[in-house]
Amino acid sequence: MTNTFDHSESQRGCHVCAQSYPASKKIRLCIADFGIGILASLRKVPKYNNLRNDYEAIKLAVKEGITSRIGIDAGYGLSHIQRFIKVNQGKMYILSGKGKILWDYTGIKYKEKKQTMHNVFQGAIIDLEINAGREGLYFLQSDEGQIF
Amino acid sequence: MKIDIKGISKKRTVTRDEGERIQRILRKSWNKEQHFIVDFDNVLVASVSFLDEAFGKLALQYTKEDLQKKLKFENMVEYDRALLNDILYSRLRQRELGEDGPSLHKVVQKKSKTVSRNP
Repeated sequence: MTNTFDHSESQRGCHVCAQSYPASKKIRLCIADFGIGILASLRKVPKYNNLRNDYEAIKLAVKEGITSRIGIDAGYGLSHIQRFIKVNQGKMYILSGKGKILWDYTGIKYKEKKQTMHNVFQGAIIDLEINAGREGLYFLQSDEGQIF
Repeated sequence: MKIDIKGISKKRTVTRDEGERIQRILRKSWNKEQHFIVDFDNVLVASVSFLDEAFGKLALQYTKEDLQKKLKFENMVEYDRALLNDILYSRLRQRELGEDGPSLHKVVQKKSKTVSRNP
């Protein structure tokens, strides 16, 4: 949610919807803003202004250390969410402009799907499907061990 | 020196600005204090922005060993502890990569694909 205020330039903040599904032990969480979109936000940074489309921008935005804020070390929110979803064996969709990407960690094989939307959504939507079934699925794990 | 997160931040443990307040306190006394005891009093933070700004950015300047010597975290919920470790490793990786961070060229050249999940 802080991404909305830090990057989107949305005049109306963001909309958050959550729904619990006890039978399937899942939680859906969706955050939508009506700001400038991920592509426009990243293009403000000179080294990213050669991004060609929304798909490339979304893909880049989930990488560690990527931020639209010039001169500020940030860019860890989405990459941590992606790692959390991987540990949780859930799904994450990000939609912005005409681009939409799904990261699906629910099955035996990890799937990443790209989709081009017919209509433009100017802001950004992040939609998470979280497994609420087992406590162990909430904890990020590092191969490098624990520092603290 | 004890850093009482609940007392300093009240319930404002979400944004980067709120995390920066903690970072400033730590940096101000970093060389004077032998170590800091950071007490969360079991407050659930669950915010990458706050934890990164308060502690993660210290890893850009100090080594893992320096941080372990200087900081002790008490009454921290396990979820936040796991998140903090993940953030610190991200920052230590960034330190190794240098200020340019990940290469845009490498990122956008990767095609969408289906791969086996690591065990």
